[in-house]
Amino acid sequence: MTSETTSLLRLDGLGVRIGTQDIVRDIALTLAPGEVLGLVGESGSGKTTIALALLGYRPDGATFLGSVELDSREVLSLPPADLQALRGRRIAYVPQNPTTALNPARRIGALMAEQLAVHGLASDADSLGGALRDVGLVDAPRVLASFPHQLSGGQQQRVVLALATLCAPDILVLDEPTTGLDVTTQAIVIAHLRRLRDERRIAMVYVTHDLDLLAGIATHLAVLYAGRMMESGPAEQVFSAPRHPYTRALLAATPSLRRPDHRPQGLPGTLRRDLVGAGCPFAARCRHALPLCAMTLPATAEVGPGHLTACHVLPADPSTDSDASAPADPAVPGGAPVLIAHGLSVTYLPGGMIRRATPVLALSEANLALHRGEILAVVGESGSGKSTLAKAIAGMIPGHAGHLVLDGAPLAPSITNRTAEQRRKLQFVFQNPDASLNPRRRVGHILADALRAARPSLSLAEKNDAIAAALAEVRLPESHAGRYPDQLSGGERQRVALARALIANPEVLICDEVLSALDVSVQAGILALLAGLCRERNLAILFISHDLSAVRHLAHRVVVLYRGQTLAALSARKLLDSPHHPYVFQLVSASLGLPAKQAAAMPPGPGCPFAPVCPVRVEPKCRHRPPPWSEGIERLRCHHSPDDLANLLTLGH
Amino acid sequence: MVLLRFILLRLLGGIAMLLAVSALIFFMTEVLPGDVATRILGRNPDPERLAILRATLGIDRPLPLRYLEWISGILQGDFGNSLISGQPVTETLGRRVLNSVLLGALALAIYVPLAVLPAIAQAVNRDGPLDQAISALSLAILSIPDFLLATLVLIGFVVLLPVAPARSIVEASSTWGQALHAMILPAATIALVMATYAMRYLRDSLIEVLQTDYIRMARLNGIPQRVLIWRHAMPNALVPFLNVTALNLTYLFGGVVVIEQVFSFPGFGALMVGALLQLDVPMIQATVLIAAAVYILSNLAVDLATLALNPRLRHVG
Ligand SMILES: Nc1ncnc2c1ncn2[C@@H]1O[C@H](COP(=O)(O)OP(=O)(O)OP(=O)(O)O)[C@@H](O)[C@H]1O
Ligand code: SF4
Ligand code: SF4
Ligand SMILES: [Mg+2]
Repeated sequence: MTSETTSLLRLDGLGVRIGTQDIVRDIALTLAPGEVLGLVGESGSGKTTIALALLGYRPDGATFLGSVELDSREVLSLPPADLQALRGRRIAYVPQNPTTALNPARRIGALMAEQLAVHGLASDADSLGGALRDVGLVDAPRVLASFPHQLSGGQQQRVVLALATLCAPDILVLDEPTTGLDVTTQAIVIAHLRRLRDERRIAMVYVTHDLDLLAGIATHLAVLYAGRMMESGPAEQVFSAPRHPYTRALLAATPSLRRPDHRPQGLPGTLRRDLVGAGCPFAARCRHALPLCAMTLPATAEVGPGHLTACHVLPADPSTDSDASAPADPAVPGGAPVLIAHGLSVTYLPGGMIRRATPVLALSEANLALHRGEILAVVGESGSGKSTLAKAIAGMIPGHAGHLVLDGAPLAPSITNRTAEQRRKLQFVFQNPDASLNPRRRVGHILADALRAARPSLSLAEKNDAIAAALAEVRLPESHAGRYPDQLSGGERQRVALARALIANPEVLICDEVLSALDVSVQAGILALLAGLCRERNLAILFISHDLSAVRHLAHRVVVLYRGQTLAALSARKLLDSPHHPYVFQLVSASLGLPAKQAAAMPPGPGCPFAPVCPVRVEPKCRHRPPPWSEGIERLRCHHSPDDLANLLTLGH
Repeated sequence: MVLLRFILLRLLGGIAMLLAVSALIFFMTEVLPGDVATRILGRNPDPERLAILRATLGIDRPLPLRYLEWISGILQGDFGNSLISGQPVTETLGRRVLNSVLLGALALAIYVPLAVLPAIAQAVNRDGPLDQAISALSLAILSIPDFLLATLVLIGFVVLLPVAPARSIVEASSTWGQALHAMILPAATIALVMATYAMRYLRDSLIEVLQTDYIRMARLNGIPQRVLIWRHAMPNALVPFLNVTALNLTYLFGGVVVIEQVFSFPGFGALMVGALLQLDVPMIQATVLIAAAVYILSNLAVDLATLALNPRLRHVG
């Protein structure tokens, strides 16, 4: 975190092992004067173990791995006499529970005098009293003459703090120093710590599970899970742009006075060390986990200056993560929408030899608005009309009703009637890359064809540059231009398809199930790519998928289709947390592996399309009258009000 | 002030208890089958002589009255005369009590370090070879009956390695050095018996204390091990040890008959047992009363020590 020359304390590969169990592992950190490192994690994550290791304290039966250097001196192997000289003098400890940290048989004054004496410092009533007054204990003579039980918990904690700082250490290790204190005392203690940090430049390691508290004092953060470092970096960075799913989940779970609009979202489950395998320790509880996560440990990567994190997926943009605690809702970018669909309806007329009586309403009155820099997801089960919507926008369904607007200009229903510029602005990537790439043309040619169609005016050199740039953008080596599609992996082919769309420099990208043909470990890469494109190019993406977890972490907003009808339009982060529409609820349950009722094969009536299977339908209203839209940003279509639904759906349905 | 009141109350309580014990002893010995007169005159005595003897001894008067007389006698240092020797009980008793007090003091002086030091060594090296060795040894000592242990000590230090006299006789004329020399073996044996008990308690409570947060905290503050043990851990670990010591004190004073016997030490225990065997009622009354007083006083002392060690109790009062 700081340059080598200024660092006071340096941890490298620190591990504490008891028997065959690694209580903590591979911890690397540095600490410089005036820095406050917040060490956070749930109970059992190994915070105390690390805190104690900093003072060379080894739990019974444990062995140390790695190193802890204080002033370039190895602490873990110091002989007892040197450790004694170090502890309390250079590096001091403030324990978790003040009520048990003070010897019941000793007077405070005696303890403090002894503390100075064992470190060869002179003590007098003034210096002891001063140390107590520093922590806000004004009645110093009384406190000095007291036994611990004669003091309140808050006073005890401040005595412990005074004791720790008595010999003017350079480093203070604080283990939950304010847990159990009332808010006023807590404020006094924090203020004192801040003074120590700023005036005396004391470096601190502050162990806590309370992130909100750290916001007021920490300069750096390190997030632990099951003994491993998940994320670390400058506090500002980690707070404002947390990259690791666990950090985000912790932040989301932390109620905050600083963020009054933030509604804490519980982190499901608890830390279970027995569930930690060879892979990412957080995998058992991670919403973004891929099969890969449980198998291999993610490497630590630098995602910003001094900002390290270990995650295979690294959900790209914090705002796309539903757990993110970004203050405003970034899901609704300002400005005019780049693409508008209004009242889009598609009726398939069943053709073939036998004419069916009833036409199929595949899409009914779909409305959507897509902004630049926004990812709008369309979800729904198979046959709900997702691809119909995509095709209609793509101009492949000339006979649709309703109208489309692209960049302020009407968009003809048929692609043949659209201008070249409109075709360039609107690009597509489809489910199956194999079907859309000509197997007999090399990748370079495929891209060149697309480029010729979109930007015919380019010179040959410019074309080559553009092709190289497009390949680079989708993280493919330039040499792949010479390959045929069948010489590529599925993920690489999908990247080529993406490159082909991007090379046209579009405004809007329609992605129809681009992940479903891909291996799950490849999916993450594509998702990261899309998120990056959206951010860097200010691209608008219509992301059609049935994969709720992909949607949840990629998209800003979600439209939910059912049997061609739009039943909900939500921000993505609300999708799993408050799926307060009966159908969304079922969809989410299904994606979590819960059984869902199949839609009965019965023709939709004039009412709600979900009525035949809805567990909370209101008879006969739901069958006979189309449900109304609710008001607000999160919009639902149901005969129940959103509030009623919230109650109905948590009560056992 | 709270403290003072507490001590006063405990003292009063002790006195009340002593009175109760004295009454109990008195009435119990008095209602033993047959009275003193029958015991003196043997079976089937001549009723006339019996009546005369009773009148002389004053035992024809009501019990409570005689109890009051007995108590007031004791308060003036008069326990009556021995039925066997006819000597005043106080005279015989005084010498023996002094012997026992000296022996006890010496034993106590040996006992404390003998219990404390191994316990610390054990607690610090918990579950290590030293800890286990000491545990095994103390268990072995505990399983040896007192008389055997005393005999073994006797054989060891008198016969095999003659450093001490075989008979631990302390005369009125003995110098302090002679007395010490004479008492060292019985005192050491008593101390050993008591220490093995106490040591086990102390080890366990020390281990418990060494695991507390405040000890860890002190350790993390750089307090050296020596200070940690003696100043931080000991005061908290001593309470159970003191309770065992209180029990030990009583044993030490009255229950060491066997050891006194083996070393031919003219102590208090032997006197009490002799009186019981011979149904020397005034002597029984006196010795039992003194044993009870020792018990009550040692408990009071332990309570005060506990109080001194545990400020929390002191302030709750
Ligand atoms: N001496 C020990 N023997 C075996 N397991 C231990 C030992 N000490 C700690 N552990 C285990 O190591 C893990 C980390 O413990 P640690 O006390 O460091 O957690 P923590 O993050 O400080 O938790 P909390 O927030 O509850 O204080 C826990 O699962 C704990 O059960
Ligand atoms: S996405 Fe995978 S690697 Fe990242 S935190 Fe979740 S489980 Fe761990
Ligand atoms: S409107 Fe009625 S039937 Fe339709 S989803 Fe809502 S509750 Fe179910
Ligand atoms: Mg802890």
